[in-house]
Amino acid sequence: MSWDTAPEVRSPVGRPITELLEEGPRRQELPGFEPVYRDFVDYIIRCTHRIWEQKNPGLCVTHYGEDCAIETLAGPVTGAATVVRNTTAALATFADRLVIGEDVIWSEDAPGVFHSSHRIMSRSTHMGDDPVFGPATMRSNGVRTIADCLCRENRIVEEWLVRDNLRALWQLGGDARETAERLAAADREGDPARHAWRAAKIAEVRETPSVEVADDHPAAMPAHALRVALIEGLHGEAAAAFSSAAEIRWPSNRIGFGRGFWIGCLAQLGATLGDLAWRLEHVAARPLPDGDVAAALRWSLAGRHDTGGVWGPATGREILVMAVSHYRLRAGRIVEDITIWDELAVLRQVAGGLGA
Amino acid sequence: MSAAEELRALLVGRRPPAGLLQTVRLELGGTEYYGEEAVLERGRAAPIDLARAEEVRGPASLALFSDGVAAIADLHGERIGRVWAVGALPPGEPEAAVMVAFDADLRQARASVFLYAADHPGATPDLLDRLAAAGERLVGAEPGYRARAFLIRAWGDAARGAGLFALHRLGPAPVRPSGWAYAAVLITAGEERVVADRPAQPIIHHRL
Repeated sequence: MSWDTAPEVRSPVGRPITELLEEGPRRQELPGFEPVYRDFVDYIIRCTHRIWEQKNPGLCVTHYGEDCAIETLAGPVTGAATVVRNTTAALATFADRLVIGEDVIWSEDAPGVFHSSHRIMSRSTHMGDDPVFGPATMRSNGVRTIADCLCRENRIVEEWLVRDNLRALWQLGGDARETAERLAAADREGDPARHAWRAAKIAEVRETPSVEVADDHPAAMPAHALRVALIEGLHGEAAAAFSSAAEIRWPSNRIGFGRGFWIGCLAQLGATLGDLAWRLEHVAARPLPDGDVAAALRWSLAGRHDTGGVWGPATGREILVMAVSHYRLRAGRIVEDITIWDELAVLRQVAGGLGA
Repeated sequence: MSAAEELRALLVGRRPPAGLLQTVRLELGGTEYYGEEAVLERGRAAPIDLARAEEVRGPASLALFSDGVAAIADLHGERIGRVWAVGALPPGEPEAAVMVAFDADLRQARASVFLYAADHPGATPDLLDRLAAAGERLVGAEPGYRARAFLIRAWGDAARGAGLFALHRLGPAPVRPSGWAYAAVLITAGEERVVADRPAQPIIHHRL
């Protein structure tokens, strides 16, 4: 389908939650989906609300494939039963979690097969003990997550989840290096085969070509910019895709404006990782209510940590980064870039965890 | 309740009868308050009274200007989305951040103001000219600093319009503090009013 078909399926941007959760007739053909879902955006927003905010983690059984695969940079999660368990555990720790949907950028990749890129601000209080974030601190926290989901017949059959976990750790008063080393030490115990996913993913990044993007698709420009900057090192040329005053929000509170700031974010990665490979995994785009266009790009990066830099002295380890970028495009340029990846999981690899 | 009334209410911590958008967020003093609870808590803790502020409304934007303080808001119809409170306000508590080394200019012929007209479809060329000049003066008013101004919001015309600049400041040598701040500009036929954050919002840089 073309990225701008089905205009009746509206972006959630600027719409109050009461309107988003209004029940009513179907607005889009959704074969095999529960009747309560009016369109695919509604499916994503409403099922998230039902599972998290209405505290029904058991609904994951009917909303995830029995053997669904969820990729995160801290390791894969498999199966609906595990998703129920993990959601319950998260609610036991962050009981008041609000999962505020900022946008859902979606595509119908084949008849009845939908892909969503759901940008979320999750706000909560750290009320319970957690294996990553430690004992309850009662501190408030709020960070962005982007969940990319492949869905058919009411079920998420594959998911890619990126979360700004280092920002969350800082908000809870944690120390990045200490936490990464603690997690890495635990990773080095037990059967190393459980980390084989990471080597497989790195091989995929290095050996599988990027998805192709049609020249007239809104994602073509940011995809070109990322590739040209990261692989060809032509940062200045790539940055021409951005407005000269574009807002850049990258993980761990890298917040700034302008092409130079975007270059600075990319240069940090390129400077510290050698033998870099970049792979574009999925793109989608949707119209925004004010005439702008939202584009979502999921991408991964693999490289050898052969130079000291943002993550400390060189370790020689192979590092994997899984990212999702959401762009706001206006008049043919990028005016906003929100990119998320889990920097705590990167530091964990730098510290020799996750099989690195 | 109009958007202006809603904005005035939230800045003093009063919940509008229809509530706030779940994505409402307030940026102030280097801190972001996200969601209704956090925004209203901030308003209650340190109210910003803009009851008698001058209002500049655009189709998707709203500004309130008073002496020394301004609020700029993105609108979705009559609902408030993102808000910047700028000027002489108690400092926030900036979060830790990974420092990004960057060059704002990308060339030796240095630009002071970064303004891309197509970013601002609701602003007329004459307003953008006035804002560009205001941006130049803002940058020039930072002696000892290498300051750069990025126009991120603008609407209206030269008879009545407004703009919001993100300011990057790099302090004097040898050890150069850096940080971001904001400045709001009100333009009318006979007046230009600038409300800017205090110099140098500190960034807590974390070495990983």
